[in-house]
Amino acid sequence: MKYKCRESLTAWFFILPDFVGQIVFIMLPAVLGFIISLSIWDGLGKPTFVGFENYFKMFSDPIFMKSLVITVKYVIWFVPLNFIFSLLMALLIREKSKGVTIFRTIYFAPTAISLISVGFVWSYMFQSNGFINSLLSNIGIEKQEFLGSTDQAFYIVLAMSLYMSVGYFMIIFLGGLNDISREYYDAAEVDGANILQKFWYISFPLLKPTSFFVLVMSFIRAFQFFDQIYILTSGGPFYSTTNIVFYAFQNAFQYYHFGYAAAMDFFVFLVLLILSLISFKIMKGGEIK
Amino acid sequence: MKKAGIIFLVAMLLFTGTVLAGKITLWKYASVVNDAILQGYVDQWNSENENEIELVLIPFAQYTSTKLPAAFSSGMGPDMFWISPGDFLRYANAGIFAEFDNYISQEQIDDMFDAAKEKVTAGGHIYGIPIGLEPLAIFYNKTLFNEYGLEAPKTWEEIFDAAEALKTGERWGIILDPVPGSYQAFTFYPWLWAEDGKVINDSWTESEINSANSIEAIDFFNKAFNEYEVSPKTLPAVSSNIAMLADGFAAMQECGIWGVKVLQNSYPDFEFGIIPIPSKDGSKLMSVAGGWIQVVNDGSKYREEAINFTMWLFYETDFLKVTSVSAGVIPTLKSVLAEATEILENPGLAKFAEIMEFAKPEPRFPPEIVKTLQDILQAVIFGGISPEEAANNAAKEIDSFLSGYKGLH
Repeated sequence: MKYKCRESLTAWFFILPDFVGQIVFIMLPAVLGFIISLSIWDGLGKPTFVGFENYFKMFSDPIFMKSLVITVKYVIWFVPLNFIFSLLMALLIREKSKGVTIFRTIYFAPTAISLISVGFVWSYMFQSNGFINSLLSNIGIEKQEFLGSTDQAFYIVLAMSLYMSVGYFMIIFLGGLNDISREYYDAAEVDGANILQKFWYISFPLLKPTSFFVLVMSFIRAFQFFDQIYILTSGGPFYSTTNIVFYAFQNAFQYYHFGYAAAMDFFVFLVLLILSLISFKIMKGGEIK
Repeated sequence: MKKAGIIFLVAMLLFTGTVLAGKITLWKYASVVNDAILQGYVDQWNSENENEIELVLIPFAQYTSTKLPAAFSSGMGPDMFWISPGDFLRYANAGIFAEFDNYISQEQIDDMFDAAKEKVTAGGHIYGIPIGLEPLAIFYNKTLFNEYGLEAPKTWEEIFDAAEALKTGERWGIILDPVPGSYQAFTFYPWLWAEDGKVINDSWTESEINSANSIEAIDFFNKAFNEYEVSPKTLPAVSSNIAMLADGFAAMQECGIWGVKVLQNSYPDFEFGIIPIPSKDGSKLMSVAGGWIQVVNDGSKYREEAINFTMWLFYETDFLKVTSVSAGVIPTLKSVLAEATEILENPGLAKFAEIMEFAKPEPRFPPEIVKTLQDILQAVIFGGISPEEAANNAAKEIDSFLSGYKGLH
């Protein structure tokens, strides 16, 4: 056997386990999910084929439309805030001064803790007789309903999501910043650039691939919030924190509308795919020109 | 070498086949209460019978939502399993349950509390044996009531008056369930029925949730949460957790019978009283009784053995009495309750035994109807929507659902 052919076979051999896994556990369920989305199925009897009826139903379902608005609201708030905070923190802890490792650990710690545990702690903090309300009453502010308020619950879910994410993306930015050669900064210093100019003309442009990755990943993450909603609010009060993914979960596992839930999930998949492709096109995959 | 491999493979297949062939599976959700006791009865059956039973315990969060539907949709459902009233009709409509009609006598049926009998009957057939009855009532802090010179409330106005009088910055008047879900709907039924309200009519053809009586019950929740502001809208207000009352978070709490044992075991010095849920003017008392049902898979090749085991467990052993006493719930059979002195002589549990005389079973509404109830309560409590508007919106949804519903009820 020729060397090239042998090399190619070896490569296939190494790829095969993951490839089979991808087919069996990702591609096949995705295809089956799409097929289920074309049916009415309660998980017990035989599915009834209804074509694209579930997809049309979504847009006449007021709760789905509300969950769509909430999803977009999560994205609009989460993506820029996550970007700014994680970049800011990466810039702050980048310096190799004394004690910075402690801050790195503190900032990254929430990422390493289970979301469920954090969710329980947050739900206790924000309950009517919780830590935050005690704090507020000590400074003369009246008790807030927080997770029981249709106006406030959304922002608590958002804050917890940021708390859980920022540390992770900070590390990504830190990696990007450390990849930038020190020589650029030395040259800028010789030219008399200040700290803001160095950031704006060196760090920010050279972080473009990292920024692109962070934006796309934050976007996908914001679209798929689930655990924090499940633990903190169960989608309430009055659907004020229910996004599409949570509503799909309720439809599948509380109302047993598996076809309808699959249609919603496929809708999320399509939206993410299209928007990721568009952002890839606009940012040219984060290429540095 | 190749031959040896094939022989080994065939031997393994035969071995696993033999092992699996004899097992009759009984699925239930895992619970610290009574699982070990049930396993004891399974072991006793296994020692006396050829076909062994295997008790499979599944984490609660996955039990009805994923494991059971996945098993039945792939044709691998258990031979016997526990089911909640909320899921009962879906499985009955799918033809999954075996009928018990030829195995249970009229005397045995008559021995069931009405609320228990209704739970397992559909289309004139008996589809299983109900396990325990868990009625709801209002628990109140007796010491606090005495301190303020208050009597146990008998009307809705008296509930609000007491709740307002006992509410402080740290303590709420009464905990009603604020969390969206089927449990919230479950806690709403007794208020609805006490006022002669209904979700739908008896023939399941039309909604009655927007009748004047039903709206009155919805308005009770509106008043408690928004007008009098005596009920907490957020955690830790989980009405199923009686610790809220004992820890001083509230003066009254709507909770189930399970609260009695918790209070007696974990808060032995805490003095509490129990009152049934009254109608607005106190002329009628009401409760709703939940509780699981043991059913048999009609498609099981061990159908006969599974029914025999179920009948043996409930009618020939003291399983029902032992587990009811252990969990602090009302046994589904009147004859068992009559002998359960541990329940009848326990003041808290005895009060619930009295409540069972007028309690109604948890309705077996399909999830579509339960969702509309959940939507009504959430809209009224949190959405600033009037009870009339919320009820009218729900009525339209329910009517639309019922027009296409062809299943059992």
